[in-house]
Amino acid sequence: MSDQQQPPANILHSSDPVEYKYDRAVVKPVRHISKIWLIPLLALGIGMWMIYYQWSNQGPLITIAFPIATGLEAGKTKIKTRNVDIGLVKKVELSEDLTGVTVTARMNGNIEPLLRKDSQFWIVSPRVSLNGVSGLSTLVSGPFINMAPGTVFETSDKFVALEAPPVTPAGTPGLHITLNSDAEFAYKEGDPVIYKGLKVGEIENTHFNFDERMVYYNTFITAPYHKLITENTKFWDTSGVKIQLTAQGIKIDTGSIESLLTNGVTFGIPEGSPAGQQVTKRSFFDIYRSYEQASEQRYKLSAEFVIFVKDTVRGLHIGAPVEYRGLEVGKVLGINPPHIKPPQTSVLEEGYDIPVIISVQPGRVQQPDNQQGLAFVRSQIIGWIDKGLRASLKTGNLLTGALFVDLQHYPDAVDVDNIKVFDFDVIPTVSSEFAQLSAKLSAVLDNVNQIQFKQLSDNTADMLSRLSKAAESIQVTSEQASQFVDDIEIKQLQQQLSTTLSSVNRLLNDFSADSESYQELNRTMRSIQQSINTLQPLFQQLNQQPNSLIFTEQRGPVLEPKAKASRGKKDASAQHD
Amino acid sequence: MQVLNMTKKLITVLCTALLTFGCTSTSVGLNYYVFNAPSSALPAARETNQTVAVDAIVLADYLRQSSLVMQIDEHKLYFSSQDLWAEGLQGAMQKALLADLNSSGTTLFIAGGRDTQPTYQASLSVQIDHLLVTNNSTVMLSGHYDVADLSDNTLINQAFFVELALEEDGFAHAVVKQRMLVSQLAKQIQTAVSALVIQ
Repeated sequence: MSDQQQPPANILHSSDPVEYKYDRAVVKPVRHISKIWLIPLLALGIGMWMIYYQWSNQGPLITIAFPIATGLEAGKTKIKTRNVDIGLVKKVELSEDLTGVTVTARMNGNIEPLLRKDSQFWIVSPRVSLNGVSGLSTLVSGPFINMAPGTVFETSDKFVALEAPPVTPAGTPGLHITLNSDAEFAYKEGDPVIYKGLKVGEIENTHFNFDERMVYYNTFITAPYHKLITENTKFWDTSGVKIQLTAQGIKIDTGSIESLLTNGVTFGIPEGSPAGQQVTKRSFFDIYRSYEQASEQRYKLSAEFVIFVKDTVRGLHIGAPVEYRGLEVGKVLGINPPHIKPPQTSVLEEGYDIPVIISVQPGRVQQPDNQQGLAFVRSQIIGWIDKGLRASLKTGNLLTGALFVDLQHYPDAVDVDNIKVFDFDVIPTVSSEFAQLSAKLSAVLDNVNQIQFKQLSDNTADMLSRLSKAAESIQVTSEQASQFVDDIEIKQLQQQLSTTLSSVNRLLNDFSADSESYQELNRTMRSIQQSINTLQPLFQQLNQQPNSLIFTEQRGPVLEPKAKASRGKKDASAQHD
Repeated sequence: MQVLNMTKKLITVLCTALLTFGCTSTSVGLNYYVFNAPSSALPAARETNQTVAVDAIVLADYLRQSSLVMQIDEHKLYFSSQDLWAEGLQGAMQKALLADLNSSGTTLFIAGGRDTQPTYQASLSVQIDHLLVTNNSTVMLSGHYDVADLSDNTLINQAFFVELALEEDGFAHAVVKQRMLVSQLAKQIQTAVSALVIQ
């Protein structure tokens, strides 16, 4: 080491007495920055770019209010439309009033135009109902939030989710109508609207009006079937199986299989009624119990009358037909209504006549369904009452005992004055069929009662005893006659048999072996045999040579036996020749 | 009309001519023969120890006629149209057979069928298959006979064939020889029945 050690350049003390002769260090500022710093800078730049990219591409943050957050998880549950991811749930928290759940979700950047004010959100999860099975895929993937884009132009970032999938997504072509019913049955969301067996729409939701005590059903009819909805379209129930016991008999109606399991509504235009203009806006329609009830609504006006029934009204119901000579001209509107009182004001009073309000509809009697036709029908009925038109209850169906009101002309009817009861013209009545039958039966029984049965029975007994004696005499006589006939027949038969047998015996004796007849017959047969034998050569000759009778020279050679000796000579001479 | 009259006349003339020819033809001479020649000899009285009923002789079909038959070839027969049996051959042969059977011996042969209370111990049935003059100048008789007791148990069933040579020409001699053949058959039967002790 050298002695000329220099102190460190940066250590200088002025109070030091020793001076050192050293070269002074030149202090220069550092101008060079290490390249290693480029890496964090690059990372920072990328990060900044990523933040910017994320910020610039992210969509709006929306909030959706759910009644319950079944299966929703922050950071995992997706929002989809048409099965495409369009957002992600960022936060799930209770609402401020703690009555629901507020879900905050970040949507994709290009989705903002779809976030219309009427966009619908709902949770898709497995659902099993009478209308079908849906959302089975979420068993694996987990539930997600589905969005149906709205149609209005106004956008929003706050939505209220549906509790269940909407029956009709927004924007579906068709017609929204509202049906109402005051019947005891009810429909639920998703119940079908059937037209000639086809499902053409669904009930979207129900609303009960407490003031009217009626249920309204918002219903959607899909295109193109919405064109069928016109002014005169009537809706009626077609749920399950309907069995009607009416005056016309038993009637069973069923809808489609779907409507057998659930409820259903069908519609149509009553027969004979014009279709009218097509409905294009939301309109209100009533749901009737049946087609018949709906069809009756085509007749708007009706002339109402009242009849006072002296007999029972059991089997008569509201809506029962009113017939004139077999033609249905109206229906029963009311039975013993409280606002109409007969002369006897209490049912418990003797001779209480039950008021029944009936209607005669001008449209059913080929009159215009307007005030003019109504006035004509009313005046015609009143005029006919003077000429004997009477009403009576008749049995329409023996099985069900259903009654209907029959209007008939009775020329012999007692004249009555036209009266009005509470603005209703009164049509006089005659006894019903049952009452008439009872009266006739009563008259017959009265006649039967007048018969003197004791005297009749005495006379009958006397007559029977005489008949019995006469029968005994006839029997004795017939037995004697039978005996007499038998005797005669047996004697005759025996005599005839005896005669026949003796004849047969004589005949057999005549032809017995020792009898002359048999001998004569035997001789005759032998003679015939001899004659045949005599003729046999002739027959043979004729058989061999039919012309031998005439040409005798043509007969064949006659042969005869030859002795051996002569045969030997002949053979020898033949050999010799 | 004239043609019709002419036709009638022609037919009448032809029929008359035909009948005239028939009447002018010579008649055929017929010879009748009896199987049993008439004889004054009566059967001698004899003692018998058993009785046999002789059923009706059964003849071959070709013998059930009146013509005498001659064999002119092995399977060819000649029925004479001029030589005829004077009586039925079946009855004649039965008479001849009975006569020959009863000519000697201790057995009485009677004609008859099956009686309800028979007086005989056996029955004799004879069937004649052939009785003719052969083309070898002989006469032959063949067939078979059987003897049965009252219970239809066959005691004898025997075929027979007897033949004799013709010594003269003509059917008359042949008939004599045929009658002799029946006698020979009767002797065979008599011998067979005599040897049989009928219970």
